[in-house]
Amino acid sequence: MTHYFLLSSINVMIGVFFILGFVTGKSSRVFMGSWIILLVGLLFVSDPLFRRFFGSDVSILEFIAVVLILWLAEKFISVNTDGRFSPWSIAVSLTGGALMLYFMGADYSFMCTVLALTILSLRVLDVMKISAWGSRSAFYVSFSFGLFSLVTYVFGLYEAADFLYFGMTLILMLIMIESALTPKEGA
Amino acid sequence: MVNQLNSTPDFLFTVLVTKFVAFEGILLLLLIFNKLRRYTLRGRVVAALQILGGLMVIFGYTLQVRSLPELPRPVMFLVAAVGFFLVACPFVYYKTVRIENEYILQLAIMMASPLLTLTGRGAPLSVMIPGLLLIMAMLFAVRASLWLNLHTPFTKALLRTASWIIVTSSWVIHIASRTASQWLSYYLLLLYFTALVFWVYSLAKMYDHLGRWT
Repeated sequence: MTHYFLLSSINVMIGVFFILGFVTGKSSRVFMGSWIILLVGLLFVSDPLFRRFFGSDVSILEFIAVVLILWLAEKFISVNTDGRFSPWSIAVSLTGGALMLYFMGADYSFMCTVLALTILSLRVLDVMKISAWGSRSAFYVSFSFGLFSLVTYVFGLYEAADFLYFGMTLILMLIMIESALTPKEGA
Repeated sequence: MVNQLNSTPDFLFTVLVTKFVAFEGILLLLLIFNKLRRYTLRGRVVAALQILGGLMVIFGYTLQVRSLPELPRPVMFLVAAVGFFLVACPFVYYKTVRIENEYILQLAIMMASPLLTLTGRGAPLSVMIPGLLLIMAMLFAVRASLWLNLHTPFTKALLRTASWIIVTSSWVIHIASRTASQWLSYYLLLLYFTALVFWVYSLAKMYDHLGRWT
């Protein structure tokens, strides 16, 4: 029960962050499709609301939200590297998520979300050379949190997994906020 | 922050997770000083002391969670706290320590916390003293990171916020040790965890900043 309390609070926080990002219009340079950001925010908020008012578990929505973020990140990377849009991270996340849901059941959709976010950290780390953010170590920390969150969840330590998930998302949000607050070079 | 009522394996493991974040912070501090070693005097001695401190923190924390009967909990707390101070010792050695008014105010608020114990309404002394010692060490580590002056305005604000959250936890410890509510204990621990994440993030950014020097 505590696990759901914690997870709901964390997801509401993430959802509010994205909705505020959409409202202020200054969320991050990563975000290019503002309406998708609003959708992501609403998806994160909707799971705790559904759970609270209808008692139904729709945590798969969070996974869809993270896949949307991955899509935005890939779009950002392709624009900034002058390369082609790479669908691999999305494909791996979707495949991993589908396998987890198939073999482990709907209770493990939290793991799909964490897996997709961990892949996001790894993907951004991979292209960090081209970015001037200077957040390489922060992404490593975020990646390590994601990895440990997956491991602790597998061992049934749900609250510990929630804490690590919170740590990972908080670091990713801090990177986005700092990136948005830092003036663009040459501007 | 360990609530005696919440000594379930799940809660203790969550406490261990907060320690894991603290380890990451300590590791980053070691890496930062390893980079600074090239530009400072007696860098190796200082680095050795820091590593010793890091090991003491890990030893103290791990034993604290494992709760070995042959070692009393205050001793484990003390080992961890001394380790923390050793990790932060280069700041004293390189004379970067600055006693600002804000720091004095924070220490005063923290030192006032045991007064509630004396009135009989706060946490028991056996929880309060080791807890406060650790929180003070943590506050020193966060303030010490501020003294390095390698921050962006954003990370500086984050570190200041983290230091105030840590000060708050010196009072929150009273609620945490007395509440019977499991979820409240988790939320209170999450508060402390947030401060640690702020600290780790700032150190990670500082390490990246130093990476541009070399």
